[in-house]
Amino acid sequence: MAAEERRDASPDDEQLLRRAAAGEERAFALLLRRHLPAVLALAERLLGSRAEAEDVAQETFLRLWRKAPSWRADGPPLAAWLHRVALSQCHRAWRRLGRQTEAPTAEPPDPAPLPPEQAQRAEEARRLRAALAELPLRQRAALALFYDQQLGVREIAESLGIGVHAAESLLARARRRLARRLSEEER
Amino acid sequence: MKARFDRSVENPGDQADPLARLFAATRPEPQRLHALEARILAALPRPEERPFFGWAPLGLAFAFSLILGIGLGFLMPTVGTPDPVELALRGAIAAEFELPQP
Repeated sequence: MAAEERRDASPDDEQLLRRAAAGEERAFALLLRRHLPAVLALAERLLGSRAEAEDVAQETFLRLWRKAPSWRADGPPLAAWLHRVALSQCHRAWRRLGRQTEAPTAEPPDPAPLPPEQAQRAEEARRLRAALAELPLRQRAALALFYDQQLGVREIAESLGIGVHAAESLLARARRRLARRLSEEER
Repeated sequence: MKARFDRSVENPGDQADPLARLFAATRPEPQRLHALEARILAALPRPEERPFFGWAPLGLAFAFSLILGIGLGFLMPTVGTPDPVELALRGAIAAEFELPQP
């Protein structure tokens, strides 16, 4: 078992995808463990709802399972492909939710009083969620990939399927707009 | 302000950037990942499985065909065999009217 774990710890995404394409569920489970946290965090940041984010993550990985047999190694890296699919699923979810300013399914505030630190964190999260909801989805995605996932501009460009200069410009616009929204809310 | 933005474009973890601090403080926490992993694995489409109803239907079908076969085996030799009473009657009628014997 330990030897099997060691063997499974090293394979790269391409190898795991080939094994998954042959129907090996264990290889797919390793891919899930590797990429699910990032996909889920991206979707949750974009939609502001854990439940919606879980649905998006599930659909994204089901698509990967179906795509595995025809996966092309010369295409975008797996992480970028997953981000693109997740983003398109978020677009659909956003349209379905009716583009509300504040995500409708955001967790309701806990009626019990929180310790000051947690209360401040919850308030900051609420402010950020509200300000992000004012931004177009692509700008939100650029910010989430940059700040949450610490990706460089080149990787953000790959994940959004745009050029590097376009990604730089998108990120700069998103940051300016978010900073403005947050400072407006503070006033 | 612009210079600070430009610097943090190179480094998303720059703590001098207020947005970086805000995102870091409110990053969604990876909870219940195992449950979601299990949910996704359970939802993977699998090759269509044919249901196996067990050996009972096969046994019943075999027994039915055996009974049918034995029953037909008993019945079949009698089909088409002339009834001796009918044969005697026909013979008597033929003799009475001078017809060829059956």
